Amino acid sequence: MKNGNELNREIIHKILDGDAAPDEQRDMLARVQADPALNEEFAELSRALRSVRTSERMPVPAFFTAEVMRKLPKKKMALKQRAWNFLFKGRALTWNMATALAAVGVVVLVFTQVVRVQNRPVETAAVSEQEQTALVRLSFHAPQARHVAVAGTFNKWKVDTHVLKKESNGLWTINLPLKPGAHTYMFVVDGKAWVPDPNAQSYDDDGFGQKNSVVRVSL
Amino acid sequence: MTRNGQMMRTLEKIFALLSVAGVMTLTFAMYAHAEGSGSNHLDEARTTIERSSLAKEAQVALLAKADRAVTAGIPAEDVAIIITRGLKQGVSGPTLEGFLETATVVKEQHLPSRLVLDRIEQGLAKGVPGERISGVTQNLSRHLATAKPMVEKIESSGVKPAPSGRPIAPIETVARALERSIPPDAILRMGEKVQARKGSMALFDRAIDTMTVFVGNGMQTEQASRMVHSAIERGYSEKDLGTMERYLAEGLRKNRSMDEIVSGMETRMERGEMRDMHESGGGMGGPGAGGMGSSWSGMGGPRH
Repeated sequence: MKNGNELNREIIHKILDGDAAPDEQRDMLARVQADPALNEEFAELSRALRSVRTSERMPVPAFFTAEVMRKLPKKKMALKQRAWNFLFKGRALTWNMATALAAVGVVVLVFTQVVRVQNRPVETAAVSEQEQTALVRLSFHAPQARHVAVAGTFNKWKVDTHVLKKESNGLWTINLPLKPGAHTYMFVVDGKAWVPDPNAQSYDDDGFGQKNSVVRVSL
Repeated sequence: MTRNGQMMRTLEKIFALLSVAGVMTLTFAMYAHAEGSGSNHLDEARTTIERSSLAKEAQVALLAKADRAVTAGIPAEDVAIIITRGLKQGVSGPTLEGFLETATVVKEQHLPSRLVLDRIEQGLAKGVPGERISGVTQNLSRHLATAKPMVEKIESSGVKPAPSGRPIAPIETVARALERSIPPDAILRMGEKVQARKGSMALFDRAIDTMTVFVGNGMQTEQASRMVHSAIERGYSEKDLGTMERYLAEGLRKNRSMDEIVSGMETRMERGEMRDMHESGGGMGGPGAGGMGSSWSGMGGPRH
Protein backbone atom coordinates (compact mmCIF):
# COMPACT_ATOMS: atom_id res chain seq x y z
CA MET A 1 0.00 0.00 0.00
CA LYS A 2 1.49 3.39 -0.98
CA ASN A 3 1.41 6.29 1.52
CA GLY A 4 0.48 9.92 0.66
CA ASN A 5 4.02 11.10 -0.07
CA GLU A 6 4.69 8.22 -2.40
CA LEU A 7 1.46 8.87 -4.24
CA ASN A 8 2.26 12.57 -4.57
CA ARG A 9 5.77 11.75 -5.90
CA GLU A 10 4.32 9.32 -8.40
CA ILE A 11 1.85 11.92 -9.73
CA ILE A 12 4.64 14.56 -9.92
CA HIS A 13 6.75 12.13 -12.02
CA LYS A 14 3.77 11.49 -14.30
CA ILE A 15 3.25 15.29 -14.71
CA LEU A 16 6.92 15.85 -15.51
CA ASP A 17 6.88 12.93 -17.97
CA GLY A 18 3.69 14.33 -19.57
CA ASP A 19 1.73 11.20 -18.66
CA ALA A 20 -0.75 12.70 -16.14
CA ALA A 21 -4.46 13.17 -16.95
CA PRO A 22 -5.68 16.87 -17.02
CA ASP A 23 -7.79 16.52 -13.82
CA GLU A 24 -4.98 14.72 -12.03
CA GLN A 25 -2.53 17.40 -13.11
CA ARG A 26 -4.86 20.28 -11.99
CA ASP A 27 -5.45 18.74 -8.54
CA MET A 28 -1.76 18.05 -8.02
CA LEU A 29 -0.64 21.53 -9.04
CA ALA A 30 -3.19 22.99 -6.53
CA ARG A 31 -1.71 20.78 -3.78
CA VAL A 32 1.85 21.80 -4.73
CA GLN A 33 0.84 25.47 -4.40
CA ALA A 34 -0.60 24.82 -0.98
CA ASP A 35 2.23 22.65 0.43
CA PRO A 36 5.68 24.37 0.60
CA ALA A 37 7.56 21.08 1.04
CA LEU A 38 5.81 19.54 -1.93
CA ASN A 39 6.39 22.74 -3.89
CA GLU A 40 10.12 22.57 -3.13
CA GLU A 41 10.33 18.93 -4.23
CA PHE A 42 8.42 19.67 -7.45
CA ALA A 43 10.74 22.61 -8.23
CA GLU A 44 13.83 20.46 -7.62
CA LEU A 45 12.64 17.67 -9.90
CA SER A 46 11.70 20.20 -12.61
CA ARG A 47 15.24 21.69 -12.49
CA ALA A 48 16.80 18.24 -12.71
CA LEU A 49 14.65 17.38 -15.71
CA ARG A 50 15.50 20.65 -17.45
CA SER A 51 19.17 20.01 -16.75
CA VAL A 52 19.01 16.52 -18.32
CA ARG A 53 17.10 17.78 -21.33
CA THR A 54 19.49 20.63 -22.01
CA SER A 55 22.73 18.71 -21.43
CA GLU A 56 24.77 17.34 -24.40
CA ARG A 57 24.16 13.68 -25.24
CA MET A 58 27.17 11.35 -25.20
CA PRO A 59 27.36 8.86 -28.09
CA VAL A 60 26.96 5.20 -27.10
CA PRO A 61 30.11 3.27 -27.97
CA ALA A 62 29.88 0.47 -30.57
CA PHE A 63 29.42 -3.05 -29.18
CA PHE A 64 28.24 -1.42 -25.92
CA THR A 65 25.40 -3.90 -25.54
CA ALA A 66 27.54 -6.88 -26.53
CA GLU A 67 30.26 -5.80 -24.13
CA VAL A 68 27.78 -5.37 -21.30
CA MET A 69 26.26 -8.75 -22.04
CA ARG A 70 29.68 -10.37 -22.21
CA LYS A 71 30.59 -8.97 -18.80
CA LEU A 72 27.47 -10.32 -17.24
CA PRO A 73 28.19 -13.50 -15.28
CA LYS A 74 27.56 -16.52 -17.45
CA LYS A 75 25.05 -19.09 -16.54
CA LYS A 76 26.91 -22.33 -15.87
CA MET A 77 26.03 -24.99 -18.51
CA ALA A 78 26.25 -28.75 -18.25
CA LEU A 79 29.16 -30.41 -20.09
CA LYS A 80 26.76 -32.10 -22.52
CA GLN A 81 25.12 -28.76 -23.33
CA ARG A 82 28.53 -27.12 -23.83
CA ALA A 83 29.54 -29.90 -26.22
CA TRP A 84 26.25 -29.57 -28.10
CA ASN A 85 26.72 -25.79 -28.40
CA PHE A 86 30.33 -26.27 -29.54
CA LEU A 87 29.22 -28.51 -32.36
CA PHE A 88 25.89 -27.06 -33.42
CA LYS A 89 25.59 -23.48 -32.20
CA GLY A 90 25.37 -21.00 -35.08
CA ARG A 91 28.51 -18.87 -35.48
CA ALA A 92 29.26 -15.67 -37.29
CA LEU A 93 32.40 -16.20 -39.37
CA THR A 94 34.73 -13.27 -39.75
CA TRP A 95 36.92 -13.66 -42.84
CA ASN A 96 39.36 -11.81 -45.02
CA MET A 97 40.30 -12.23 -48.69
CA ALA A 98 43.68 -13.85 -47.98
CA THR A 99 42.12 -16.58 -45.85
CA ALA A 100 39.36 -17.14 -48.39
CA LEU A 101 41.87 -17.47 -51.26
CA ALA A 102 44.00 -19.88 -49.22
CA ALA A 103 40.92 -22.01 -48.48
CA VAL A 104 39.95 -22.03 -52.17
CA GLY A 105 43.53 -23.03 -53.05
CA VAL A 106 43.44 -25.99 -50.66
CA VAL A 107 40.06 -27.15 -52.04
CA VAL A 108 41.27 -26.87 -55.67
CA LEU A 109 44.49 -28.76 -54.83
CA VAL A 110 42.60 -31.59 -53.13
CA PHE A 111 40.06 -31.77 -55.96
CA THR A 112 42.70 -31.87 -58.71
CA GLN A 113 44.62 -34.60 -56.88
CA VAL A 114 41.45 -36.67 -56.47
CA VAL A 115 40.63 -36.28 -60.18
CA ARG A 116 44.22 -37.03 -61.15
CA VAL A 117 44.38 -40.24 -59.11
CA GLN A 118 40.96 -41.39 -60.32
CA ASN A 119 41.71 -40.68 -63.98
CA ARG A 120 45.20 -42.15 -63.96
CA PRO A 121 45.03 -44.95 -66.53
CA VAL A 122 45.95 -48.30 -65.14
CA GLU A 123 47.37 -51.22 -67.06
CA THR A 124 44.40 -53.51 -67.51
CA ALA A 125 46.33 -56.64 -66.73
CA ALA A 126 47.49 -55.25 -63.42
CA VAL A 127 43.95 -54.51 -62.31
CA SER A 128 42.30 -57.82 -63.02
CA GLU A 129 45.04 -60.26 -62.20
CA GLN A 130 44.64 -62.31 -59.12
CA GLU A 131 47.28 -62.12 -56.45
CA GLN A 132 47.51 -65.91 -56.40
CA THR A 133 50.62 -67.46 -57.88
CA ALA A 134 51.82 -70.94 -58.67
CA LEU A 135 55.38 -72.04 -58.05
CA VAL A 136 56.97 -73.12 -61.32
CA ARG A 137 60.27 -74.98 -61.31
CA LEU A 138 62.56 -74.39 -64.28
CA SER A 139 65.69 -76.42 -64.88
CA PHE A 140 68.45 -76.11 -67.41
CA HIS A 141 71.35 -78.49 -67.98
CA ALA A 142 74.50 -76.54 -68.76
CA PRO A 143 77.61 -77.98 -67.04
CA GLN A 144 80.00 -75.53 -68.68
CA ALA A 145 78.02 -72.39 -67.80
CA ARG A 146 79.28 -70.03 -65.13
CA HIS A 147 76.03 -68.10 -64.75
CA VAL A 148 72.46 -68.83 -65.84
CA ALA A 149 69.52 -66.45 -65.43
CA VAL A 150 65.98 -66.51 -66.74
CA ALA A 151 64.38 -63.45 -68.35
CA GLY A 152 60.80 -63.16 -69.52
CA THR A 153 57.50 -61.37 -69.45
CA PHE A 154 57.28 -61.89 -65.68
CA ASN A 155 60.38 -59.78 -64.95
CA LYS A 156 60.33 -57.36 -67.90
CA TRP A 157 63.19 -59.31 -69.49
CA LYS A 158 65.70 -58.33 -66.82
CA VAL A 159 68.76 -60.53 -67.01
CA ASP A 160 69.95 -60.05 -63.45
CA THR A 161 66.95 -60.56 -61.19
CA HIS A 162 66.18 -64.29 -61.53
CA VAL A 163 69.43 -66.24 -61.37
CA LEU A 164 69.35 -70.06 -61.44
CA LYS A 165 71.17 -72.05 -58.76
CA LYS A 166 73.74 -74.61 -59.85
CA GLU A 167 73.13 -78.09 -58.54
CA SER A 168 74.89 -81.39 -59.11
CA ASN A 169 75.55 -82.74 -62.63
CA GLY A 170 75.55 -79.30 -64.18
CA LEU A 171 71.83 -78.76 -63.56
CA TRP A 172 70.69 -75.19 -62.97
CA THR A 173 67.28 -74.68 -61.29
CA ILE A 174 64.95 -71.97 -60.09
CA ASN A 175 61.47 -71.88 -58.55
CA LEU A 176 59.42 -69.02 -59.97
CA PRO A 177 56.21 -67.74 -58.44
CA LEU A 178 54.06 -66.98 -61.49
CA LYS A 179 50.57 -65.58 -61.86
CA PRO A 180 47.96 -67.45 -63.91
CA GLY A 181 48.32 -67.05 -67.68
CA ALA A 182 50.94 -67.57 -70.36
CA HIS A 183 54.52 -66.45 -69.74
CA THR A 184 57.30 -66.40 -72.32
CA TYR A 185 60.93 -66.65 -71.29
CA MET A 186 64.47 -67.58 -72.26
CA PHE A 187 67.56 -68.60 -70.36
CA VAL A 188 70.51 -66.22 -70.46
CA VAL A 189 73.78 -68.09 -70.21
CA ASP A 190 76.88 -66.25 -68.97
CA GLY A 191 75.12 -62.94 -69.52
CA LYS A 192 75.18 -63.09 -73.32
CA ALA A 193 73.71 -66.23 -74.92
CA TRP A 194 69.90 -66.32 -75.12
CA VAL A 195 68.76 -69.94 -75.12
CA PRO A 196 65.19 -71.30 -75.21
CA ASP A 197 64.24 -73.91 -72.62
CA PRO A 198 64.95 -77.18 -74.48
CA ASN A 199 61.98 -78.82 -72.85
CA ALA A 200 59.43 -76.03 -72.58
CA GLN A 201 55.68 -76.70 -72.77
CA SER A 202 55.66 -74.89 -76.11
CA TYR A 203 57.48 -72.21 -78.06
CA ASP A 204 56.47 -68.98 -79.70
CA ASP A 205 58.07 -66.66 -82.21
CA ASP A 206 59.50 -63.67 -80.35
CA GLY A 207 58.94 -61.30 -83.28
CA PHE A 208 62.69 -60.89 -83.83
CA GLY A 209 63.45 -64.26 -85.39
CA GLN A 210 64.06 -66.27 -82.24
CA LYS A 211 61.89 -68.72 -80.30
CA ASN A 212 60.73 -67.94 -76.79
CA SER A 213 59.76 -70.72 -74.43
CA VAL A 214 56.20 -70.65 -73.13
CA VAL A 215 54.90 -71.75 -69.76
CA ARG A 216 51.20 -71.64 -68.98
CA VAL A 217 50.04 -71.37 -65.40
CA SER A 218 46.58 -72.21 -64.18
CA LEU A 219 45.51 -72.59 -60.59
CA MET B 1 36.25 -13.42 -20.10
CA THR B 2 35.19 -16.50 -18.16
CA ARG B 3 37.23 -19.67 -17.96
CA ASN B 4 34.64 -21.65 -19.89
CA GLY B 5 34.66 -19.16 -22.74
CA GLN B 6 38.44 -19.30 -22.95
CA MET B 7 38.36 -23.07 -23.02
CA MET B 8 35.79 -23.13 -25.83
CA ARG B 9 37.83 -20.69 -27.93
CA THR B 10 40.95 -22.78 -27.42
CA LEU B 11 39.04 -25.90 -28.41
CA GLU B 12 37.79 -24.14 -31.55
CA LYS B 13 41.32 -23.16 -32.52
CA ILE B 14 42.58 -26.72 -31.97
CA PHE B 15 39.67 -28.05 -34.02
CA ALA B 16 40.44 -25.63 -36.87
CA LEU B 17 44.15 -26.49 -36.79
CA LEU B 18 43.40 -30.20 -36.82
CA SER B 19 41.07 -29.72 -39.82
CA VAL B 20 43.74 -27.86 -41.80
CA ALA B 21 46.37 -30.44 -40.84
CA GLY B 22 44.01 -33.22 -41.89
CA VAL B 23 43.36 -31.68 -45.30
CA MET B 24 47.08 -31.14 -45.85
CA THR B 25 47.91 -34.71 -44.83
CA LEU B 26 45.20 -36.08 -47.12
CA THR B 27 46.47 -34.00 -50.02
CA PHE B 28 50.06 -35.08 -49.43
CA ALA B 29 49.07 -38.74 -49.08
CA MET B 30 47.13 -38.68 -52.35
CA TYR B 31 49.96 -36.91 -54.14
CA ALA B 32 52.44 -39.42 -52.75
CA HIS B 33 50.16 -42.30 -53.79
CA ALA B 34 49.93 -40.94 -57.33
CA GLU B 35 53.57 -40.12 -57.73
CA GLY B 36 55.31 -42.28 -55.14
CA SER B 37 56.64 -45.39 -56.78
CA GLY B 38 56.80 -43.84 -60.22
CA SER B 39 59.00 -40.92 -59.21
CA ASN B 40 61.92 -43.17 -58.28
CA HIS B 41 61.87 -44.84 -61.67
CA LEU B 42 61.60 -41.49 -63.46
CA ASP B 43 64.48 -40.11 -61.41
CA GLU B 44 66.53 -43.10 -62.44
CA ALA B 45 65.68 -42.51 -66.10
CA ARG B 46 66.40 -38.79 -65.78
CA THR B 47 69.81 -39.46 -64.24
CA THR B 48 70.63 -41.98 -66.96
CA ILE B 49 69.69 -39.48 -69.66
CA GLU B 50 71.70 -36.67 -68.06
CA ARG B 51 74.77 -38.89 -67.75
CA SER B 52 74.45 -40.19 -71.32
CA SER B 53 76.47 -38.97 -74.27
CA LEU B 54 73.34 -37.57 -75.92
CA ALA B 55 73.44 -33.91 -76.93
CA LYS B 56 71.67 -31.49 -74.59
CA GLU B 57 68.79 -30.96 -77.05
CA ALA B 58 68.36 -34.73 -77.47
CA GLN B 59 68.32 -35.16 -73.69
CA VAL B 60 65.60 -32.52 -73.34
CA ALA B 61 63.52 -34.07 -76.14
CA LEU B 62 63.82 -37.57 -74.62
CA LEU B 63 62.85 -36.30 -71.17
CA ALA B 64 59.80 -34.59 -72.68
CA LYS B 65 58.74 -37.84 -74.37
CA ALA B 66 59.23 -39.73 -71.09
CA ASP B 67 57.05 -37.23 -69.23
CA ARG B 68 54.34 -37.46 -71.89
CA ALA B 69 54.40 -41.26 -71.76
CA VAL B 70 53.97 -41.30 -67.98
CA THR B 71 51.21 -38.70 -68.20
CA ALA B 72 49.41 -40.90 -70.74
CA GLY B 73 49.54 -43.77 -68.26
CA ILE B 74 52.60 -45.76 -69.25
CA PRO B 75 54.10 -47.08 -65.99
CA ALA B 76 57.20 -45.09 -65.01
CA GLU B 77 59.10 -48.33 -64.43
CA ASP B 78 58.63 -49.33 -68.08
CA VAL B 79 59.70 -45.87 -69.28
CA ALA B 80 62.82 -46.09 -67.11
CA ILE B 81 63.64 -49.61 -68.36
CA ILE B 82 63.31 -48.58 -72.01
CA ILE B 83 65.52 -45.51 -71.58
CA THR B 84 68.14 -47.16 -69.36
CA ARG B 85 68.36 -50.35 -71.42
CA GLY B 86 68.27 -48.45 -74.71
CA LEU B 87 71.06 -46.03 -73.80
CA LYS B 88 73.14 -48.93 -72.49
CA GLN B 89 72.67 -50.69 -75.85
CA GLY B 90 73.71 -47.55 -77.73
CA VAL B 91 70.28 -46.87 -79.22
CA SER B 92 69.99 -43.30 -80.53
CA GLY B 93 67.89 -40.63 -78.80
CA PRO B 94 65.38 -40.26 -81.66
CA THR B 95 64.88 -44.06 -81.82
CA LEU B 96 64.20 -44.17 -78.08
CA GLU B 97 61.80 -41.26 -78.50
CA GLY B 98 60.09 -43.30 -81.22
CA PHE B 99 59.63 -46.26 -78.83
CA LEU B 100 58.03 -44.04 -76.20
CA GLU B 101 55.91 -42.30 -78.83
CA THR B 102 54.56 -45.63 -80.13
CA ALA B 103 53.65 -46.82 -76.62
CA THR B 104 52.09 -43.44 -75.77
CA VAL B 105 49.95 -43.35 -78.91
CA VAL B 106 48.74 -46.90 -78.21
CA LYS B 107 47.81 -45.86 -74.68
CA GLU B 108 46.10 -42.69 -75.87
CA GLN B 109 44.01 -44.78 -78.28
CA HIS B 110 42.81 -46.79 -75.25
CA LEU B 111 44.53 -49.91 -76.55
CA PRO B 112 46.45 -52.28 -74.26
CA SER B 113 50.07 -51.16 -74.22
CA ARG B 114 51.61 -54.12 -72.38
CA LEU B 115 52.37 -56.07 -75.57
CA VAL B 116 54.18 -53.10 -77.17
CA LEU B 117 56.14 -52.36 -73.98
CA ASP B 118 57.07 -56.03 -73.61
CA ARG B 119 58.28 -56.21 -77.20
CA ILE B 120 60.44 -53.08 -76.81
CA GLU B 121 61.91 -54.27 -73.49
CA GLN B 122 62.49 -57.77 -74.86
CA GLY B 123 64.16 -56.49 -78.02
CA LEU B 124 66.45 -54.18 -76.08
CA ALA B 125 67.35 -56.94 -73.59
CA LYS B 126 68.25 -59.29 -76.45
CA GLY B 127 70.33 -56.65 -78.19
CA VAL B 128 68.07 -56.37 -81.25
CA PRO B 129 68.92 -53.23 -83.30
CA GLY B 130 66.74 -50.22 -82.44
CA GLU B 131 65.44 -49.76 -85.97
CA ARG B 132 64.24 -53.37 -86.07
CA ILE B 133 62.46 -53.00 -82.73
CA SER B 134 60.92 -49.77 -83.97
CA GLY B 135 59.53 -51.42 -87.10
CA VAL B 136 58.16 -54.41 -85.17
CA THR B 137 56.44 -52.30 -82.51
CA GLN B 138 54.91 -49.86 -85.00
CA ASN B 139 53.52 -52.84 -86.87
CA LEU B 140 52.24 -54.28 -83.62
CA SER B 141 50.50 -51.04 -82.68
CA ARG B 142 48.65 -51.07 -86.03
CA HIS B 143 47.57 -54.66 -85.37
CA LEU B 144 46.30 -53.69 -81.93
CA ALA B 145 44.14 -50.99 -83.52
CA THR B 146 42.77 -53.55 -86.00
CA ALA B 147 42.23 -56.15 -83.29
CA LYS B 148 40.10 -54.01 -81.00
CA PRO B 149 36.97 -53.75 -83.21
CA MET B 150 37.32 -57.43 -84.14
CA VAL B 151 37.26 -58.46 -80.48
CA GLU B 152 34.38 -56.09 -79.79
CA LYS B 153 32.45 -57.65 -82.68
CA ILE B 154 33.06 -61.16 -81.32
CA GLU B 155 32.09 -60.10 -77.80
CA SER B 156 28.88 -58.50 -79.05
CA SER B 157 28.01 -61.58 -81.12
CA GLY B 158 27.07 -63.43 -77.97
CA VAL B 159 30.30 -65.16 -76.94
CA LYS B 160 30.19 -65.48 -73.17
CA PRO B 161 32.63 -63.34 -71.18
CA ALA B 162 35.59 -65.08 -69.57
CA PRO B 163 34.97 -66.45 -66.08
CA SER B 164 35.87 -63.89 -63.44
CA GLY B 165 39.48 -63.94 -62.35
CA ARG B 166 40.71 -65.45 -65.62
CA PRO B 167 43.49 -63.24 -66.95
CA ILE B 168 42.87 -63.01 -70.70
CA ALA B 169 43.93 -60.31 -73.13
CA PRO B 170 42.00 -61.02 -76.36
CA ILE B 171 42.98 -57.77 -78.10
CA GLU B 172 46.67 -58.54 -77.60
CA THR B 173 46.15 -62.18 -78.59
CA VAL B 174 44.39 -61.18 -81.82
CA ALA B 175 47.09 -58.55 -82.54
CA ARG B 176 49.77 -61.24 -82.20
CA ALA B 177 47.79 -63.48 -84.54
CA LEU B 178 47.56 -60.67 -87.11
CA GLU B 179 51.29 -60.11 -86.68
CA ARG B 180 51.83 -63.73 -87.76
CA SER B 181 49.72 -63.00 -90.86
CA ILE B 182 46.74 -65.04 -89.70
CA PRO B 183 43.87 -63.59 -91.76
CA PRO B 184 41.18 -61.58 -89.93
CA ASP B 185 38.61 -63.83 -91.55
CA ALA B 186 40.05 -66.91 -89.83
CA ILE B 187 39.97 -65.08 -86.51
CA LEU B 188 36.36 -63.98 -86.91
CA ARG B 189 35.38 -67.51 -87.97
CA MET B 190 36.98 -68.78 -84.78
CA GLY B 191 34.72 -66.39 -82.86
CA GLU B 192 31.68 -67.86 -84.64
CA LYS B 193 32.76 -71.42 -83.84
CA VAL B 194 33.34 -70.60 -80.17
CA GLN B 195 29.95 -68.88 -80.04
CA ALA B 196 28.25 -71.87 -81.70
CA ARG B 197 29.83 -74.11 -79.08
CA LYS B 198 28.66 -71.70 -76.36
CA GLY B 199 32.27 -71.21 -75.34
CA SER B 200 33.63 -68.19 -73.53
CA MET B 201 36.09 -65.46 -74.49
CA ALA B 202 38.71 -67.44 -72.54
CA LEU B 203 38.33 -70.32 -75.03
CA PHE B 204 38.43 -67.88 -77.97
CA ASP B 205 41.58 -66.27 -76.55
CA ARG B 206 43.24 -69.65 -76.10
CA ALA B 207 42.23 -70.90 -79.54
CA ILE B 208 43.70 -67.84 -81.28
CA ASP B 209 46.82 -68.14 -79.14
CA THR B 210 47.23 -71.81 -80.14
CA MET B 211 46.80 -70.88 -83.79
CA THR B 212 49.49 -68.20 -83.37
CA VAL B 213 51.86 -70.66 -81.66
CA PHE B 214 51.37 -73.13 -84.51
CA VAL B 215 52.13 -70.50 -87.16
CA GLY B 216 55.03 -69.12 -85.11
CA ASN B 217 56.57 -72.59 -85.08
CA GLY B 218 56.42 -72.94 -88.83
CA MET B 219 52.97 -74.39 -89.52
CA GLN B 220 51.22 -72.94 -92.55
CA THR B 221 48.43 -70.50 -91.73
CA GLU B 222 45.79 -72.64 -93.49
CA GLN B 223 46.93 -75.76 -91.64
CA ALA B 224 46.94 -74.01 -88.27
CA SER B 225 43.52 -72.50 -88.93
CA ARG B 226 42.09 -75.86 -90.01
CA MET B 227 43.53 -77.73 -87.01
CA VAL B 228 42.27 -75.31 -84.38
CA HIS B 229 38.86 -74.79 -86.03
CA SER B 230 38.50 -78.56 -86.11
CA ALA B 231 39.48 -78.80 -82.44
CA ILE B 232 36.86 -76.25 -81.43
CA GLU B 233 34.19 -78.01 -83.52
CA ARG B 234 35.06 -81.24 -81.68
CA GLY B 235 34.49 -79.49 -78.37
CA TYR B 236 38.12 -79.24 -77.30
CA SER B 237 38.79 -77.41 -74.06
CA GLU B 238 41.59 -74.96 -73.33
CA LYS B 239 43.57 -77.81 -71.76
CA ASP B 240 43.10 -79.89 -74.93
CA LEU B 241 44.50 -77.02 -76.99
CA GLY B 242 47.49 -77.03 -74.64
CA THR B 243 47.95 -80.71 -75.39
CA MET B 244 48.05 -79.91 -79.11
CA GLU B 245 50.74 -77.28 -78.48
CA ARG B 246 52.80 -79.75 -76.48
CA TYR B 247 52.46 -82.35 -79.24
CA LEU B 248 53.84 -79.81 -81.69
CA ALA B 249 56.73 -78.89 -79.37
CA GLU B 250 57.56 -82.54 -78.85
CA GLY B 251 57.51 -83.20 -82.60
CA LEU B 252 59.90 -80.32 -83.22
CA ARG B 253 62.20 -81.57 -80.47
CA LYS B 254 62.31 -84.91 -82.27
CA ASN B 255 63.13 -83.12 -85.52
CA ARG B 256 59.96 -84.28 -87.28
CA SER B 257 58.81 -82.35 -90.32
CA MET B 258 55.82 -80.03 -89.93
CA ASP B 259 53.76 -82.12 -92.37
CA GLU B 260 54.50 -85.18 -90.27
CA ILE B 261 53.47 -83.37 -87.11
CA VAL B 262 50.23 -82.05 -88.67
CA SER B 263 49.36 -85.46 -90.03
CA GLY B 264 50.02 -87.13 -86.67
CA MET B 265 47.98 -84.52 -84.87
CA GLU B 266 45.00 -84.97 -87.22
CA THR B 267 45.14 -88.75 -86.89
CA ARG B 268 45.15 -88.50 -83.11
CA MET B 269 42.32 -85.97 -83.16
CA GLU B 270 40.20 -88.36 -85.24
CA ARG B 271 40.96 -91.17 -82.80
CA GLY B 272 40.17 -88.93 -79.85
CA GLU B 273 43.70 -89.29 -78.50
CA MET B 274 44.68 -85.65 -78.50
CA ARG B 275 42.58 -84.55 -75.57
CA ASP B 276 44.29 -83.49 -72.36
CA MET B 277 46.90 -86.22 -72.31
CA HIS B 278 48.79 -84.35 -69.62
CA GLU B 279 46.95 -82.59 -66.84
CA SER B 280 49.80 -80.15 -66.26
CA GLY B 281 53.51 -80.08 -65.92
CA GLY B 282 56.52 -79.97 -67.99
CA GLY B 283 55.88 -80.88 -71.54
CA MET B 284 56.01 -84.28 -73.13
CA GLY B 285 59.60 -85.12 -72.47
CA GLY B 286 61.36 -85.57 -69.22
CA PRO B 287 64.93 -84.69 -68.36
CA GLY B 288 67.24 -85.55 -71.17
CA ALA B 289 64.60 -85.22 -73.87
CA GLY B 290 66.27 -82.23 -75.47
CA GLY B 291 69.20 -82.86 -77.71
CA MET B 292 71.49 -79.97 -76.80
CA GLY B 293 70.97 -80.15 -73.10
CA SER B 294 68.30 -81.31 -70.81
CA SER B 295 65.79 -79.45 -68.84
CA TRP B 296 62.51 -79.88 -67.19
CA SER B 297 59.81 -77.36 -66.64
CA GLY B 298 57.06 -78.15 -64.26
CA MET B 299 54.38 -76.52 -62.26
CA GLY B 300 54.23 -76.80 -58.54
CA GLY B 301 51.01 -76.55 -56.65
CA PRO B 302 49.23 -73.26 -56.24
CA ARG B 303 50.74 -70.94 -53.75
CA HIS B 304 48.37 -68.66 -51.91
